[in-house]
Amino acid sequence: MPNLSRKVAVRLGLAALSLALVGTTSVRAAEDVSKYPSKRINIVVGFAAGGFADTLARLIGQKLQDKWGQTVVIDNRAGAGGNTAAKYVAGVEPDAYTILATTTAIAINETLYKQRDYKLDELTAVAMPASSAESLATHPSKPGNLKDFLAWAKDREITYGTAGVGSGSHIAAEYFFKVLAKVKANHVPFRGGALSVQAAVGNQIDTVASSFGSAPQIVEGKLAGLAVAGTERSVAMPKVPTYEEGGFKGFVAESWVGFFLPSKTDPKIVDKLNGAINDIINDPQTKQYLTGLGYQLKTRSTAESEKYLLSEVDNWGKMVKATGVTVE
Amino acid sequence: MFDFFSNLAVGLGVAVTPTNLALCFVGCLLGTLVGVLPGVGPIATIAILLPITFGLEPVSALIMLSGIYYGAQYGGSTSSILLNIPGESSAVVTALDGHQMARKGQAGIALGISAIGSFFAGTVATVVIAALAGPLTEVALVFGPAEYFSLMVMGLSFAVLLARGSVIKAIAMILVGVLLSTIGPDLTTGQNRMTFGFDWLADGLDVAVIGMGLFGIAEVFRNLENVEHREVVKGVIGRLLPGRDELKQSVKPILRGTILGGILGILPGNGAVLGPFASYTLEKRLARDPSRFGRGAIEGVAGPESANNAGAQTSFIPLLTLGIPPNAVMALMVGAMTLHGIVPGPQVMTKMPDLFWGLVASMWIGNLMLLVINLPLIGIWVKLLQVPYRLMFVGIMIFCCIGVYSLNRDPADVIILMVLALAGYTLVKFEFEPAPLTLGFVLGKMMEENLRQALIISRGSAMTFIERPVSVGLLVVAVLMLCLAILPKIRNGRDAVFVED
Repeated sequence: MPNLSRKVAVRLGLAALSLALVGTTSVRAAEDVSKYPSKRINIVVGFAAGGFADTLARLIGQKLQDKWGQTVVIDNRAGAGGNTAAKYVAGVEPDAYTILATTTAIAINETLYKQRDYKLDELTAVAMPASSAESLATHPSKPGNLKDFLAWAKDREITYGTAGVGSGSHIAAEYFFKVLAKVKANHVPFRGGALSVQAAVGNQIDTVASSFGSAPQIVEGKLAGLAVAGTERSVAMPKVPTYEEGGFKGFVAESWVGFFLPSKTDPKIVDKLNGAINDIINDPQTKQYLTGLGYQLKTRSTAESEKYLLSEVDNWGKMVKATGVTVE
Repeated sequence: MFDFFSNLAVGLGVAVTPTNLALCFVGCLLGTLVGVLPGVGPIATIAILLPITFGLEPVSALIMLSGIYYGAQYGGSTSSILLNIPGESSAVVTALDGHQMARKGQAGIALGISAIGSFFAGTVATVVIAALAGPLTEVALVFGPAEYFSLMVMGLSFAVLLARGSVIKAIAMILVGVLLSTIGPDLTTGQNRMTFGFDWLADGLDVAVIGMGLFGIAEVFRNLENVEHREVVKGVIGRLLPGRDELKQSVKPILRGTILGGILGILPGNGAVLGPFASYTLEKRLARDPSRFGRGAIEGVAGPESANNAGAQTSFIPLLTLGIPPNAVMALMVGAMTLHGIVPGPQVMTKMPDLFWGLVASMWIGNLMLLVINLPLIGIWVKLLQVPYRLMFVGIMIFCCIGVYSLNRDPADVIILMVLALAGYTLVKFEFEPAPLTLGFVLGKMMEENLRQALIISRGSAMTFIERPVSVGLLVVAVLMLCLAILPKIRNGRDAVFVED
């Protein structure tokens, strides 16, 4: 892909809408850390506008803009489970003016996709500030705790809905039913988490696996929460026990949003961006606001972020292999 | 009942503050403009404007963003009627008769009736949301994959009726549309299908590209055949507003369209797209002289336009009562709510009555504003038609290309657009109609996916479609429709059906 024409194209597209974003012609120059950022920043989101990654990217982008006084533009490049955006950012000039925002998908896809057009080591993890544990929920007319539900499910083929094939919810639920609980469960993929939650609220499917999409429904009693796959209970639905409490020790599967830069980026700039994102997350007001939305927050250094990424590749890779799911 | 009025009063109190009125106006105006421009849709506009709303109160932000959404529904009909360029699937239906009316010098009447129909539908739908959002949510929940599949089958049987000429050709076009819809990743395996290994086909085709290619640009090609005395519309522009006769003709279609569109709008997975098609079919079926359809029948504009707008409004119901977005625009609204610190869900209605009722009240005000914005604009739009065609067609091509490009910022989409335009031109030459193809495309994907979901849920038993009462009801209607479409032609002798072959 010719990057330059892409960039020009993005500007043309935006300018055509004649909206507040005036593209500045960029002058290439070696960047001094203290001067970063000196021009507009693009955050490339691997998923469509409105989702988990998009929402967090917009929030962080806005705060970075307030902090640094440079315009931050959100550029949604959905496709191939987040791979399209990852491939794009892996190939841009490593000047830290193009940041990738994506989800757990980048860790899952390492094992799930047979073919990707980028390598994970072409990207470096900057921060994974927010996460939400995978959860199972069911219609209130069905057994409302994990033990009873599994007993009920034993003598039937149950169905579970997810946001789609290869999503974190799919992998985690498939792993749980097939490997841990040994219950026969059929996967019903939907186009996006929202439709799977609606199908569960309408009692069309036996259970829905999602990261945080079902939390409001659980809190309001439209769904019964069975378990969350976190190390601790979720702030969004504190009444729902963890799998660990339900007797499935060590089953942890969390969906997160992370920010990435090309791995050739100056480490000092990576640190600077990491620090800025951490400051945003540590701000009490932002913290309260994000927690209120149901995200678990965690700040890490760049080294810790990179380590966490690799451990996530392992954790999800183990589940993907155990379930045998692949996507070409 | 008292609750209903006191709630609406609260809502109006929120919606008529000067800031909110101004934002509602800005949203509606922007929506109208992006609706008129082919390809530039509400999704891109809302996504780009989201950051600007950060400083606003959540309710003000949502009022403006919703204004863009239903404003775009109004604007979308303008380019279909004047230039035969449907920017989205719902406007495809409007183009069928609306553009024919424009060719006959009735562009003003077509635009006027579509604005009036949309306003009426919007008003009714707003009241419905206010009064019945709760119970209607339950209706939406009854619709599982099996019901949805049957609904799509019914929708496809409409497509046969949509056609002007040969039933066989219409069916062929539907099947081509369904086939085109299978391009892209498979729902249950994630495997790419029919992409021939091309990256640019990996996410499938976009319905806006199909609409603009098969209708808009193909129309340009057709018009260029006789360059000498080329005018889109005859010099006579005619009246700008519908007269009493036209209004009288349109009352019932508007009513029926509103009901149909309103019901379909509530369904999950973008049921609203079916509304205009359903309404058009119904009107053609009920008409004393169905042959007028496709040649500029006002009912064919009034009904679908009302259905379209009613559906756009009622699709807010699952969002507001459950926090579950039924389509991509609503998903973006969920994102907007989240960014403003509101967790979308069932609690919004009870815990934030100001927000809920303010938004509902603003929808009605927005519809009124749209009527006020759009009626005077008709004069300007119609004048556009007097631009010499040698200038006009260049403009159409440029706008379509920019619009298509802006969808995914992928140059391949512009090439696809041109291939489709050539295909559309060829099809018209051989008297195959593109409308059934578009419907097949829109419904095909949803039909396939719901079929597979339904079969997984039923553990492989196809009986699920006849065991579930709502599903079987819809299938029976579909069969009846098909019989109605085919039987009279068989009775009238083979010539009516097969003569064209």
